[in-house]
Amino acid sequence: MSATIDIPVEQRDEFACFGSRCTVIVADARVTDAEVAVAQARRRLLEWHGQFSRFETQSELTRLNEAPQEAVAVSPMMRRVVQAAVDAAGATGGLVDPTLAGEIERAGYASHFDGDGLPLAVALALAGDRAPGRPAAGARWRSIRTDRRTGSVMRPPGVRIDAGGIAKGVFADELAALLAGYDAFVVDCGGDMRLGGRLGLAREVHVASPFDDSTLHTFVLAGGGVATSGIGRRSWLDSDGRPAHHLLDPSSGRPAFTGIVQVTALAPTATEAEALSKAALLSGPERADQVLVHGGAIVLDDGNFIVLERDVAGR
Amino acid sequence: MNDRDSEAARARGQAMRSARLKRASMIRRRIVGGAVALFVAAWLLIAVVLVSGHDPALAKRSSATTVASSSSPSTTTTTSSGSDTTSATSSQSSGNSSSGSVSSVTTSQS
Repeated sequence: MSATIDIPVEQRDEFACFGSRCTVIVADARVTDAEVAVAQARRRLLEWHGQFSRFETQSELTRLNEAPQEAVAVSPMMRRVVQAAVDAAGATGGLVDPTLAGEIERAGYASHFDGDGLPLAVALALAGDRAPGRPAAGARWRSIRTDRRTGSVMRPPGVRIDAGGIAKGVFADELAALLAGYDAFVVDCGGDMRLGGRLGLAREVHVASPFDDSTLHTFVLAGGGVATSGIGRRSWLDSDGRPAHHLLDPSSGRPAFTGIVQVTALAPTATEAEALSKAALLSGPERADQVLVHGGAIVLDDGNFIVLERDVAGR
Repeated sequence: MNDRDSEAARARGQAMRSARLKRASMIRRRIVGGAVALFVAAWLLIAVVLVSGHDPALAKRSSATTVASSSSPSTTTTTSSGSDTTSATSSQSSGNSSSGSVSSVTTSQS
């Protein structure tokens, strides 16, 4: 026997945040509650943006990176983000390295990225040989520790942290926990998305092409995390005239051109999806499909793409 | 008072002291037990609320009564390449039918 579900009207807000666009959607029979939840989620995301930006001189992340002492007292969310970044580095064998703040600045990404950037086709044409990324020999991320009891982060002074997309994944997961009691919700933190809701409603998730924004594939998901990483949106020419972007090969500290331009990863959480998408892109075409253990989509330099659909618990 | 009377009086006194101590001990145990139980119950309640992800700041003021179940989609592993050859499929089976549909979303790189 089938029951009928009246799908309530969705409350939706899209706004600029984390140097990108964030979207929060909450659907619930109680419209006012859903509106309040969307507004609260937006407020929290904007607060976290100010707290975790490496471009803001007064942000907590900047203060942490500039602190001269080894142990620094931090907020619970900062400790959680740093621990998630270290966990992601461990899970990916160091490919997703949160200690490349200096390298990304030297590559030319030292302030908010404005404008359209270098067209992807131009960046690919100017790039040199393709090669998979490798972990950094020094593995500075291994020197980072967090202590829940004292609420602190320990690292050698001078080791600067750039949690990047992992932070956005953590934020999406944090809000997902708060919104789990509503009928349906989506939190998209600029490419790091978490879906869910009490009713377990399936939702279409379109994967946009990095070349022209057309839809390459559509996943149907009731819950879980989705993250898309790519080299198309934030590309530029560095001071030497070389194409650059924000996804670095940890072994060289230089932007990675691996033969993959974009990866969408599925996972139980947005944090895991973020780590998998970056690791898959850096792994290159030969190993990327092995990295995407929960499924996803891989877009190659030539525009061809590969879709992997695997079972994900809870989706 | 002979020896037998004084012996009996001592025994009565001893019994009264013993009973008083027993009562005091019982009252003390009840108070301590009640306080501990109240403390544990309060912390359990807080832990359950937080662990279940219901932050009061975002909590609903009342819960909806619709009860629904869902099943995870059966998935197939399909690999396809080429910009016009997408053939990956995903099917969704559920005991519910919907009177509407949720909006779709697009994922793209940040």
